Amino acid sequence: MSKIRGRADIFNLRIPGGSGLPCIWMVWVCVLFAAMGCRPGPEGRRADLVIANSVEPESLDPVFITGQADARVVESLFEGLLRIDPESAAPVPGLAASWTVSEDSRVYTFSLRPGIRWSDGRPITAMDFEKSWKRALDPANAARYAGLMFAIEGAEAFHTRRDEKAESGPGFRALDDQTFEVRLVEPRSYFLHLLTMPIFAATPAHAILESPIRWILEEDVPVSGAYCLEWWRLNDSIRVRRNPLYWDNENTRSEVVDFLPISNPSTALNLYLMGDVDVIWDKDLVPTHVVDELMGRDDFHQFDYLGTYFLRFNTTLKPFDDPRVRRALSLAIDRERITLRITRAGEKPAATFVPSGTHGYDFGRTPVIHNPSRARQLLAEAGYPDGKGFPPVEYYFNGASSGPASNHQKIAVELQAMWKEHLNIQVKLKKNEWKVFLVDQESLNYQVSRSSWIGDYNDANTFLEIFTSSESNNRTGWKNSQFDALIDQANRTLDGDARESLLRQAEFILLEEAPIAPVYFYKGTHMFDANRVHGIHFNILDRHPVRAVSVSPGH
Amino acid sequence: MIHFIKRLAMMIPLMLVISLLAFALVRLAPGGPFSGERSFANEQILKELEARYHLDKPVLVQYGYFLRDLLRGDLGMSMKYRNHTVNDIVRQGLPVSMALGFSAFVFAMSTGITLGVITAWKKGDLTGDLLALLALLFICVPSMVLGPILILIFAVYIPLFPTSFFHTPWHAVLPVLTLGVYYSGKISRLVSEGIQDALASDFIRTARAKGVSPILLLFRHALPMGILPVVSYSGPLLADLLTGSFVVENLFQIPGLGTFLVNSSLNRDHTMIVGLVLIYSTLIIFFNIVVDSLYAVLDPRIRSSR
Amino acid sequence: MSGESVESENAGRKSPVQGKAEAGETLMRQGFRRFWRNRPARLATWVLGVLLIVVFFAPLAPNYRPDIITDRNFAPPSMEHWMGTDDHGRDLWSRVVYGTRISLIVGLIGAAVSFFIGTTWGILAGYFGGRLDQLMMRFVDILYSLPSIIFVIVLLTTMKEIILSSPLSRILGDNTGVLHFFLLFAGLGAVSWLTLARIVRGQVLSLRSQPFLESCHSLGLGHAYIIRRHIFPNLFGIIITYVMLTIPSVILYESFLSFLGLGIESPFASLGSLISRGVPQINPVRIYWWLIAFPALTLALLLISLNFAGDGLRDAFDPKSSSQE
Repeated sequence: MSKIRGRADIFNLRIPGGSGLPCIWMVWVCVLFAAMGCRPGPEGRRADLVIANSVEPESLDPVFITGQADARVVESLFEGLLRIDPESAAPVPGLAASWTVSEDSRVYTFSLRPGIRWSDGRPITAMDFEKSWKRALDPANAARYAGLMFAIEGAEAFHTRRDEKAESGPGFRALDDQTFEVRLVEPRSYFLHLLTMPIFAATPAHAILESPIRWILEEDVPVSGAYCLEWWRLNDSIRVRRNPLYWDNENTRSEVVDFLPISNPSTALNLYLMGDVDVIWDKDLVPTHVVDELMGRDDFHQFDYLGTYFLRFNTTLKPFDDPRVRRALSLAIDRERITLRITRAGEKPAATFVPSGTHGYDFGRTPVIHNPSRARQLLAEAGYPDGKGFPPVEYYFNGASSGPASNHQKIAVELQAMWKEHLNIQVKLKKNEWKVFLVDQESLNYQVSRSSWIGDYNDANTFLEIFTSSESNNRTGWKNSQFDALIDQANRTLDGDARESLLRQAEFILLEEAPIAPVYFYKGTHMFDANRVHGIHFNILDRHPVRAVSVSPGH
Repeated sequence: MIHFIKRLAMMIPLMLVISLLAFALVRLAPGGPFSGERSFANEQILKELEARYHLDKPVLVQYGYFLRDLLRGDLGMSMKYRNHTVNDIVRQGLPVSMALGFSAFVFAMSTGITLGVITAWKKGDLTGDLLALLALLFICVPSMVLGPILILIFAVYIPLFPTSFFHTPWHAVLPVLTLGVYYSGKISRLVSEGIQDALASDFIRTARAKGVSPILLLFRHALPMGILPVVSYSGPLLADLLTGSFVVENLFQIPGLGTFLVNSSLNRDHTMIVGLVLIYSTLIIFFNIVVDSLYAVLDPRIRSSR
Repeated sequence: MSGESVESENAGRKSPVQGKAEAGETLMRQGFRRFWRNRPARLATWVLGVLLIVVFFAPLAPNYRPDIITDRNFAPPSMEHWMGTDDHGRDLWSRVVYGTRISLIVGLIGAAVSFFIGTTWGILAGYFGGRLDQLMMRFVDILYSLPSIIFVIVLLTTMKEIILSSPLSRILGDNTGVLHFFLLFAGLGAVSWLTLARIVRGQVLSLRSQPFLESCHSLGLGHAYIIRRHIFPNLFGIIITYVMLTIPSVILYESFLSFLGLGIESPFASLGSLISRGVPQINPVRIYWWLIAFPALTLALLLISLNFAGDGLRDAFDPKSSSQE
């Protein structure tokens, strides 16, 4: 007994009893302040322009980047031979002042601007481009966008190590400090569009040599673009500051820009409404459940976007080896209902795979996309009248209950109901995590799966090409030599009209054979007050150079 | 003390077992760290990339590489954030997670114990019942509902606090509340039950019979005994607060490790998962040892039996 | 609680326990009477009873259509749809009823798993002590220090794939959703027994050094007997309270997993998955309040009554409890 009491005496000093309680509270406040004090806060004032920029970039290295969110930041740091015009998104001279094209449209010779320099003061030469492009193609770097460079002679062989012994290497070289020559496999009408992509940007070989992987995290990374990287704090902010040595520095509008890596639409909306964010510029950051309410606002902007939501059918498995079954399922989809009830952001139902508004391409007439009776008829022809005898089928999608991926689930539920109603077939839903889903899709371990494709450049080829037989992004098992031949021929054709008609024929085959079922075209969505934020112009690529954006003061 | 040091030494083999387990588990999981919506140009490139992370080797060989790097304090490159090492990410995220976790811990402890003591003290009358109900309410509201409601009311409608991020103490108030409220309810219940048990025990009855004042009984005798379950619970509580803050980090855009922990599992970022598991388990085991030792010091009954 | 097993086991040993077992039964009856006298507990029992009746009989009513997709989405509560409709135009009332049922099942099974493993583990470790205790508690430490979320994610994803690719899948047939369901229980049970084990062990440790146990030992009573008659009854209060706390925490954990997209899979729905889908409704632009309010309030009501009932049980059966005087 006395022992216990003795213990309790000591105890009483530490654990709340009477005056102990306020002590603990004080400790809490102290710990809180101490903990916060140790962390670097946002130095100084708010940035001149704050942008909510979707998910955390996987990388800020032009070679490693994987998505649009990454590209938006990278574009402001590194520039290539060409850059895009803020208003039209057309390719215009960047680090190259001018270029000449050979008679057969296969050899481009670029002259760099005189006197251009890295942000550390070193001159940018044609040799820098040669090194940068070689690094982008180096198979050891495994660039996801390396395929964009395959228009260049020898690039594919170099990247896939097919001819390691060949001395020639890829078909580009520095003729002298100012002149850079590129040889293409065959003429490509959209080649200049490609050159604005981050993978073609000039990267600082001298800095990369010192620290091949973490170079972008080092202090004062030399950059070729309009902004220098000030910091990159994961899940907090990426801050860039004007690069005074950029050749077009005088036209850089904002001094300091913050990119906030936000993946939760509610967070983005709250920050925007409280004035902590000037621009929300990602379609995934628009809360779908209130989008109809937001659409009435003046600061809510929408525009056509080069992206398609579609389904892939696994054409190597029964019953989807029969194009009639695939078309039947496609015709049974009420796309309007999906865009009106689920996505609700003004998306257009997709009748074709290539989005409407793509540069130099229009499918012409609009194919019929929702026709339940025709769907039933096709299914009957394929041997399943009124869905009888139709094998069990799974619709495979990736999903989460919140965030942008939550729509996949909702769409799956609708699709399931539509197929049941119109075709009387029972489709089960299978959801999996993104990474598992991707592996299964790549290895054709699915029956019908949810997919989407975002165009890289403003040309129909960026869409149609992926369903050629040799393409690793095909993922349907569908092979059609006629389709392949048409795409190949179209890409060699320079005449716009002739090319368009070839591409149309190709897409016609794609839609008739239906290894895919387009569902809707994405809509680009931004939120910003146009009276305050200037310099954002809408274009189908949803690319908006930050250097042209400014916020007027006084608000 | 010797016991304490002995247990600290025991941590090393324990960490080895845990890292091996984590290693095996992530490699069993289906899904590839490098699969993407956009494929590589061919299979060969993917294979080379995997080989760079030793994914082509048997698990035990991979583990060997991992241990070799670990000895140099290197947890490897992240497979998703390809410019970052796991060390980079831990260096950025851990202080934030710790600040959030410890703040919530202190908040939960102080609120919970206060509530619990008063509840036990006032048991039977209206105040006690209301406080018990309050503690109950705390454990019935999921943080994913509480968080957005707090943001909506105290950051948007009445702009007292920032809606997100974690820069100043002001930023921490709502997240700490959201994270800590549930646990303060739990603690309050544990404390009030512990105290009531203690009050019913023989020696307190004896003391009461001897005429010791009720206040003294409560704070001197019942509280030290009643608080023991809480001491025992504080280890797992810290673990929960450190690892379980994903929802709060997500709601308030807080750059802690919780987000990385969950996302790396979903992204199959192997090096990151193993690295983070190792970091977290080291912390958690350490806290548990501290808590156990504290328990032994505080409870004379265990002490005397040793 | 353990009256029956005591009787059967002791009958074999022919010890004079007949009277004791009867005493145990009256103790039970007394306990229940005390429980019933506790007003909040009685109220909670009524609420739980009504909830259970509604949840299990509502599916018979004609307006129970949890899966029917209609054109009337986001309809506010009305006579036709008591709780309004969701984004697919489904009747929210039906979905909440359905979700409550699933949540209850998840919580009960999770808590049962946690109770059996946790109590056994904690008592064994605490009672026998020494090396066994060290070993068992190190094992708990290991599991503890594997962040449970990773454990559950890996369990849910790997085990599912492994089982589906094994011959077992033939037995399951089309019921892969059910498989996910059971893995969810296994996962939730596997992560929630640890705390109980530690708490029980701590209590047993402190009980073990009390004088009355030493006298039991000196009387030569068997371990099983001591554990059953003297340790377990002393732990009953803390265990029942903790198990009652485990049901809500399992239900909450499930909602957390739903938030990550790993919880109950469509077409199933739980209160947790309904809530996590309703959360985005809490926004400054427009609030379809019924989508979050009804699931959240149902959950709160369910959890509060479970807790009050648990408290009542504890007060009624805990031999040390103050209200027993």
